Amino acid sequence: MVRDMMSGNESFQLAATARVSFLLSTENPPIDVVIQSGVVPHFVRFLIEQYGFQHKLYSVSALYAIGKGSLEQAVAVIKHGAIPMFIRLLCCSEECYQLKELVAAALGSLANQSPDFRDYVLQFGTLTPLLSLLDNHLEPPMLHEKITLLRACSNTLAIVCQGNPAPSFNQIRSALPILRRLIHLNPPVGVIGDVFEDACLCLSYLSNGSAEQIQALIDADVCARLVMLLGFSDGKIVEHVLRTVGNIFKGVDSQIQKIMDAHIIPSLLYLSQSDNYDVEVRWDAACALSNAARRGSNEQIRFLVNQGCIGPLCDHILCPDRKTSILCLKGLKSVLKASEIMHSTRNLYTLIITDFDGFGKVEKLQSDPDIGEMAMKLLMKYGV
Amino acid sequence: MEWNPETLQFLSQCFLHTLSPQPEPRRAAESSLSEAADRPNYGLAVLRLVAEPSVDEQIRQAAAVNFKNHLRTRWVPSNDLNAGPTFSPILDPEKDQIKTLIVSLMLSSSPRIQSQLSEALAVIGKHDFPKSWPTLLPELISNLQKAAQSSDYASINGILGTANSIFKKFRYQYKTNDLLLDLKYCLDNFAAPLLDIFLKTASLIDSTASSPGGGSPATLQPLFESQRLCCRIFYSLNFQELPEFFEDHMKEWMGEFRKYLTTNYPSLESSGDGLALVDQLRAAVCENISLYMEKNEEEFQGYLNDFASAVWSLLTNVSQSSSRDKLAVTAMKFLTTVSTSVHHTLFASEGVIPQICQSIVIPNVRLRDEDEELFEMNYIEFIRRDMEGSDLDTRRRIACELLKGIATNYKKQVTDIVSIQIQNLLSSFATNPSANWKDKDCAIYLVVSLATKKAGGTLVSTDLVDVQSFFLSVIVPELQSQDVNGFPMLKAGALKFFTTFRGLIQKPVAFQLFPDLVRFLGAESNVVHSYAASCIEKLLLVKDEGGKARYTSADITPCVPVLMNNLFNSLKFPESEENQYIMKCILRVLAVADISSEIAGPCIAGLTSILNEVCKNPRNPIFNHYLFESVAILIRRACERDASLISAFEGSLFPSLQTILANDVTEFLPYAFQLLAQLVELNKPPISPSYMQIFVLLLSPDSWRRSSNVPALVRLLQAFLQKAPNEVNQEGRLNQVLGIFNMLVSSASSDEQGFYILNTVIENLEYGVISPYMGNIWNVLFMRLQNNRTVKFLKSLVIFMSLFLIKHGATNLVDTMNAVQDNIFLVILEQFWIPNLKLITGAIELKLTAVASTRLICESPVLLDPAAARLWGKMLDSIVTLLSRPEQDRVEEEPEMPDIAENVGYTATFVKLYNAGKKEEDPLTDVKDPKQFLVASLAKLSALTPGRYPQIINENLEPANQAALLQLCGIYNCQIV
Repeated sequence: MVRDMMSGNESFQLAATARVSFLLSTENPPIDVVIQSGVVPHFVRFLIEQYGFQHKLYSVSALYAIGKGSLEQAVAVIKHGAIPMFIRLLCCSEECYQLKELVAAALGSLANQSPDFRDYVLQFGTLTPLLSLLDNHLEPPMLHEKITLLRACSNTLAIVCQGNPAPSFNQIRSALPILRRLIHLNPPVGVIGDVFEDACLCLSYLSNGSAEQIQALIDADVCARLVMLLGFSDGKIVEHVLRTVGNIFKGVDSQIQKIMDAHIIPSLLYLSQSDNYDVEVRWDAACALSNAARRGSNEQIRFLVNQGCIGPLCDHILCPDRKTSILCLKGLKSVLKASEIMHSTRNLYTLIITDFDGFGKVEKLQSDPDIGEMAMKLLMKYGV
Repeated sequence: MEWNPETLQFLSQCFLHTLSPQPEPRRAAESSLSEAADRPNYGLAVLRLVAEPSVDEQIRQAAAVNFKNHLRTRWVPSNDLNAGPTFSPILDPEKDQIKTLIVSLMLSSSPRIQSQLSEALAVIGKHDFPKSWPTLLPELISNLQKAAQSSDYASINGILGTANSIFKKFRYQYKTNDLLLDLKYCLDNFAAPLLDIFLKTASLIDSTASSPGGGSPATLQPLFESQRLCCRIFYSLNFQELPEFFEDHMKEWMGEFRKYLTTNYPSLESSGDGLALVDQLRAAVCENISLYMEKNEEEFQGYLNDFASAVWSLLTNVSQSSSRDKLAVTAMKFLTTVSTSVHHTLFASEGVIPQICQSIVIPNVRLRDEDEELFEMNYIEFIRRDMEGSDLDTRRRIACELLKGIATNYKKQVTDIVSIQIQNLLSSFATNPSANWKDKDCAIYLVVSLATKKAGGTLVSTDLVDVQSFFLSVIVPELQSQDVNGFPMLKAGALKFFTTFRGLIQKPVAFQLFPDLVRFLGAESNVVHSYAASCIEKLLLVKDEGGKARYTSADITPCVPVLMNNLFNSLKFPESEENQYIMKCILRVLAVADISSEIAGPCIAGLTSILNEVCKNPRNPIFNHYLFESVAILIRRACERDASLISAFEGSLFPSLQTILANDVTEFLPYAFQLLAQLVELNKPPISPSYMQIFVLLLSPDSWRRSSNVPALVRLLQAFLQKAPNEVNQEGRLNQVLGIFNMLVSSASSDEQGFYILNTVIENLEYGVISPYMGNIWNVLFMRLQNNRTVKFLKSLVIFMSLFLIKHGATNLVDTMNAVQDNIFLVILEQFWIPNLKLITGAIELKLTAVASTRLICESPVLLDPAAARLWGKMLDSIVTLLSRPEQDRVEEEPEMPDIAENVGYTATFVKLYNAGKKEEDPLTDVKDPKQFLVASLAKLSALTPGRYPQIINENLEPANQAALLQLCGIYNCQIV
């Protein structure tokens, strides 16, 4: 096979490529054997224009399979310059959906290997063709046969937006206008639902960062839609959106105000006690409220309390999820502090917290190794 | 009636006059005909007249209609007494003569008369065929063969039409041995001739159609009609199971069937009538192949591929014109059947499902001009189809059923394709809303019908679509649109969506939209404001888990003033003056909201002014029912809060109620009496003179003549008896009341009502007042007991005696009865009380009779007498049986207000006003538990004479009841010694 592939005869090469790509699609693909045989550069070479569509398809599929392997195996793909070739294929003007779908998936699998790989993939300018494919195929009328390509693109987009450390915001901010369009698709079911969910996931990553990042999101005019998405029945979507909202609440006052103005609080209150979704949704809603209570101005906290935020914070303070529990405690502390400043004579909010048995619950946290001290201090200072 | 020139003359004159435009001669003729109809041989004479060529065709036609109706009522007259007047039946000799004449007469007559006679024949066939009419089928067949030889299609179609109507019973009757025997008889005789004529006509069609110009429509039309009739007969004969003959000749049948689906007949199809005829044949073929697909899939599968592709291409070509609806619907039903069958793989190949969706489903779901017209011109019919599920046979609905059918096996593909189609429809709408609004409507319709189960099922959200997200992104913007009159059909679609999925929409979201709903009550479109009202009404009925209402009075009370104002205003729109959806919404809001006097005032004013209006001409019974219910609930709930409001209500309502009584508005009398009863009950004695006037009216026998009034009158009389017992005892009124009781109790249909009155008298009047009448009352009751005793009557009697005992003591009961006839009490006790006691049901009734019976055996000297020991034991046995039955499910405190059936009309029946209902009162509040009362009383009694009762119990009680009694003693810690 290796000999066939290196031969100058195109039909021998095609047959051999097909065989290897088949071998790699089996359950335990012999990736190392293939790499050692030295055929990877050939696969990359077959991606240039002069080779036929089928030939390219087999080559991409082989490279995709190797790229999904271990980190070392994936290195082989990158080392031989597959990425720029992939990007050329994505940009080509022919309507070869199937090939582009595979290429997008292959890029995604490489970027998924590690943050370094991801940045490497991004550096070559992957985002531009990816976004333009999404852009074109969202134009009405949408066609049935393009829909899986759309999914592959959105999936890869979600991959390049995530990771720890996060990608540099400037590299991915150009995705925002497309993401905005994607979260306006309707109804989000079937494949379109998957694309939709990818977009929500992207937003939750993009929102996790500096005030500048949050501002970019707000400028992209997504707030009103985010509020609406909190009413969707798909729990996954709601979870992603709650994370995004929670992140926005970590911003500065004006940003917090923006999303509050979109009437988000009633939805969060509802979700924090709704039985319609998994419990995580309730916790995430409580965390988002806590973020608002911790970062908001005194005026904003007053508004939050008037809307009924203290209830959920108290309800979830003994949450089995530690992060939620800690955040709720911190949220309450922030509320009490604000009250102290606003109500000079009497800390009015202690009364509301008492109504919800908030202090009773805080008492139970006193023995906690991490936040016991905070709980104790809070009780000593405000407890009644 | 003898057949002679005079009869001929008389009948022709009469039938001529029945066609007269002047009412007098017409009525006179009609009445002499109905008189003559009672005479023997009238039917025969009319039939002869129909056959008389010398008589004018118009007269004969009228006679044919009369003949058919005559047969319908008198061939086998109905025995149901409630179904109207009874008719004397046609006698057998006359029947025989009619049966000999009718076939040949029908065949020789002109088309219009033929169709009447054919129907008449079907009437006879329904009862007599085949057993009592063995000559019919052979006669039809020989005539058919004769007509076929001469290609006389007038006769052929007459015979086939007749055969079709007499074979229809095989489609809907239960598969019984008798039916199968009849079917076999028909198949043995008719299957072969049917195929013969079908094939003969088929070849005639082929040769005619292939002639130059495609043959004249006049020649082709009867041929197509004939084939259609053959197809319908095929359907009837194949409905129960696949007959052998048809299995053997499937190829011939199917070959022709396919031809009609795939061939065009331009000369015929160029005219609307001709196309309709061909389409009817095609639709009949589709029904036949659907039947085979459903019931004989195995034998049929060889033909399936061909038919599926034929139907498919037919569907892609069927235009949107409503004249082709029936064909489109039956064809889509066929594909639906295929899609859910084992042969669903026909849909599996690449691209099939998207194409079906694109070229069949979407075009059929789109709004058509006819729908728009209906929306504007006849909103009631539109709503009935669109909202209330009478759209089962519309293209829109069936197209969605097809999609759902495919989704049973190809869910993923359908989900993907539907979501893409919806995206596309919505983006097309977004590019130019005013031109492409129908795209959005189409998207909404798709989601609604894909997310609901088939008609009748409970509502579910399927994963074909996501209801909540769709609602938020697509429906909410429509509902928040500031222009309530723009794109009314879209608004209606959005409101319908909200109504349909009200249970799935989260409360904060729905709550926010409430003001918008209120706003849409002001939309000019009748459908839109009706849907807005309906949506509000249904929202108020939404229950959360655990059965608690999701929207409570606290939620809606702040906006009730605006809401009520808009509701009353929307009743002012043209054609919505009697809009039942709005009235129902008013009712529901009044049932939920807090009724303060600020709300009650305008509401009662609004309702009474509507009431005064509808009194002039009661038209819409459903609207009127909700109107009266609204008044009733308003009074009930407002007075619960503030009893002083009653006089204000009286002031507004009295004039209207008086109008109803004075003008004898028949339809409203039962309602008026119920409302009056409600008002009387809310009053504190003494009752005002204006009520007493009504009381006098109430006692006049005239009021009681209409049976539909009786329950309401009884209810009102009871109210008076409770609230004005002293007035009842004046001026001989009690005598009149008891006269009414007497009248009601003598008939089995109203005896229960009579007992209601009697029981109320016993409960509310002093013993001294009623004692002079008791002898009379017993006499009436015993008389009824002798003449016509029903279980219902006996139960009522036991309850009455129990009530009497509780109120006035055992001694009075025994003495007044025995005063009528010596020792009758013990006879009644043994024969009626003891055996019927265990039949008593209802918590209050059960307690009453058990306690009364207990007191009887523990207090009454007659029963304590050692001579009555056996009766004593039997009575106790019966009491224990009654009490040891498993406890009835407790009736909920306030059961849901029932919806009234759509077909309510009140000329004949009484419709209960739920909200003016009487609270059941317990006459025995001091006894809580009849079981405890029984054992405690027995323990006390037995302590007086230890040893006596255990023995009686031992001798007279069933072993099971002895054990039960012992158990009761244990539970309540009492002992019978």
